[in-house]
Amino acid sequence: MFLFPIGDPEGVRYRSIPIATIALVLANVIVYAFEFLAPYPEGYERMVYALGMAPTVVHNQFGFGALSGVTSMFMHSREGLLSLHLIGNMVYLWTFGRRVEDACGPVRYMVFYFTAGLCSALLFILASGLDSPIPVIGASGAVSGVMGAYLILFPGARIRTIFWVVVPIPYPLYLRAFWFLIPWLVYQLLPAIDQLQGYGLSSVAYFGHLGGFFGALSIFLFLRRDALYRYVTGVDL
Amino acid sequence: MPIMARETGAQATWSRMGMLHESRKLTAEGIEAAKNRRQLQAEALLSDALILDPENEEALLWLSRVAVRPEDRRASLEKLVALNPANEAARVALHATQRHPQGEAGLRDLVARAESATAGGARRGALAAWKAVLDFDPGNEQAVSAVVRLLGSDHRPQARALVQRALTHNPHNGGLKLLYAEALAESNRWDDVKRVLPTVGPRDLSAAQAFERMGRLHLSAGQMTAAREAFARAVELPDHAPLTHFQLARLLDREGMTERAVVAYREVVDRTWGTPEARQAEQRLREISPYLPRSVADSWPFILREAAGWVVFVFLLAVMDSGVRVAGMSASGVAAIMLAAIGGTCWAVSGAVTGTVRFFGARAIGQGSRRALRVAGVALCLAAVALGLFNSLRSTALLLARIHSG
Repeated sequence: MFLFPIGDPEGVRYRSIPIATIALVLANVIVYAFEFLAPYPEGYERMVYALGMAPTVVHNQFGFGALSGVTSMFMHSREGLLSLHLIGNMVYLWTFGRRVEDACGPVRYMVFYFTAGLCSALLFILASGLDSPIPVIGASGAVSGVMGAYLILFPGARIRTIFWVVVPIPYPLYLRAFWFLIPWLVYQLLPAIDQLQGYGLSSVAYFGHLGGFFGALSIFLFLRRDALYRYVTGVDL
Repeated sequence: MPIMARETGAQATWSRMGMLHESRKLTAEGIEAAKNRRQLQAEALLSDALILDPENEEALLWLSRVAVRPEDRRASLEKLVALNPANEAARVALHATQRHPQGEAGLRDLVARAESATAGGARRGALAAWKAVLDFDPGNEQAVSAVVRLLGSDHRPQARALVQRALTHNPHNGGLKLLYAEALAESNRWDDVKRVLPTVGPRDLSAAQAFERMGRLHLSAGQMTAAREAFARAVELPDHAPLTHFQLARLLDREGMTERAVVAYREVVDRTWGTPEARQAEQRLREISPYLPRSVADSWPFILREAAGWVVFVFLLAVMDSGVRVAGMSASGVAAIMLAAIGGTCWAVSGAVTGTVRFFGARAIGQGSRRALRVAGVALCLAAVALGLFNSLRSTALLLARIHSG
C-alpha cells in the first residue's frame, strides 16, 4: 500500500502555464524515447553507463565526468513502452513542480532544479563511496528537491492523493503537503540508513533522494522577489 | 518662566498617571478579594481606588456588588450610570434595584427562566417569560432582541413598536438602536436608517456580531466608509465571523487601499478555504498581485540573493568538476563550503520552522528568534558567496598566470 499524488488543485499566482515543468517533462520523455529505440540490451546499457552517473566517473574524471551528474537526471530505467520509473517521477514533478515554478519563475526554477539534482548527486557519491562503479539514473533526486521546496513554501497546501492498495482506489484524498511529505521523508531516511550499514538490498538511490530533498533548502535563493517578500513577511505565497 | 510652567504641567500629568495606576491596582486587588468572599476588605480596597480615581467604572461596578449597605450599592450604580449611560450592566442592575422586590438577583432569575424557556423551544412560553422581564425592565436589550427574534418577520410593526418603547426607557443603548435601524431597514425606510446609525457610537457596542450587523446596515444604506469602519472594528474583536474579512476586503479594495485589501483577502483564503468567497478572494488576489513595495524590490539583499543562487549552482558544478576532492581544494574553498553549509542550515532551519509554525496556524510563536536565525543565515550565505567568488577569481588568475608563463 502506498500514497500516490495525482495533482495539486490549488491555483497559481503569477503564470498559468508552467513552461519549465512542461519542458522538463518533455525532455525526460524524449530521452526515454531514445532509450526505448536503442537496441536492447547493448545499446541501452551503453547509454546507461555513458550518461548515468557513477561515482568513479566523477571522482576519476573520465567519460562525461561531472557532466554525468546532469545527464543522469534525464535517464530512466527501461521497462517497456511505459516506464513506471519515468511516469512516477514525472507525475511527482508535475504535482509539486507547478507551484514551485510559479513561485520562482521558469528560469530560476530550472537552475534550482539542477542545483537540487547536483546536491542529490553529491550526497549519493559521498554515501556510496568515491570509486563505486554502479551508475545511478533518474530525475528523482531533482524531483525530491522540488518536493522539499514545496514543503517549505506550501506546507499547508492540499495534494490530491490516491491510495494504491494492489490497484489504485479511485477516490482521491486531499492531504496537506505536510502530512504527505514528512512521512515520505521518513520513508526515505530509514532505508538510507540501512543502505549505509550495508543491509539494503533495494536498487533505489535513497541517498540521492535525501540529497535532493536537502538541496531544496537553497530554494530561498531562487524565489521571485515578490514571493520571498511574501514568505518573510508571513503572508501566504 | 515658560519652562517652569511646562515642568509643573508635566509633574501634574505624572502625578495623575501615578494615581490612575494605583487606582487600577487597588481595583484588581478589590476584585480578587470579592471573588474570594472577603467582602469587607473588597469594599475598603474599592473605596480607596475610587478616592484616587472617582471615575473608575470597574471599581464602581464591583462596589455596587460588594457594598454592605443597600444605599451605598444604589449610589455606586447611580454614579456609574451618570458617568456612562451606555453601561448596560450598570443600568440593568440599577433598574432592578429600583423596581424588582428582590433586586438584581430577582431580575437575573427572571432572565434565566426566559433563557431556559427559549432553549426549550416553546415559542409562546418563551415570549411570556421575556415579556415578564420587560414588565420590570422595559429597556432590557437582551429581552427586546429575544422577543423581536421570536416574533419573526410576520409581526414587523409590533417588533418596531417594542424597540421604540424600549428606546424611550434606555435611550443610550447601542444594541437597541441597531435593532431599531434593522426594523426600519426591513420596512425600506432607508432615510431613517441613515439618521439612526450615526447615533450608535463605537463605545456603545462591544461584540463583533454587533459591529458586523452595523456594517451590513451601513452597506445596505450605501455608506461605504462607515461600513468599512464597522467591519474593521468587528475583525479586531474575538469571535468575529470569518466572512467579515471578505466584506472588509471588498470595501478596502473598492476604496483603493490595496495593501490592507490584500491582507484581508489572504485572511479570507486562509480561514474559509473551499467556499465561493475564498475562490473570489483568490481570483482577486491574483489580479492585484504581485504586490511588493518598490523599496524592498530594489534593496541590495534582494538583488544579491538572486546572484547568489547562480553562484551556488556554479559552485556545485565546480565541486563535481574537481572530482569531489576536498583535499585538493584551497583553504578558502573549504572555508566557503563550510560557511555555505552553516549559513544554509541556519536559513533552512528558519524556513522549516516558519513552515511548520505556519502549518499549525500559530504565526506569533518565536517570530523574533526565527528572524534572527534568518538574518544570521543570510549573512553567512552572503559571506560564503563572497569567499567562493574570491576563490574562483584567484583560481582563474593562477590558471592565467600558469598559461602566460608557458
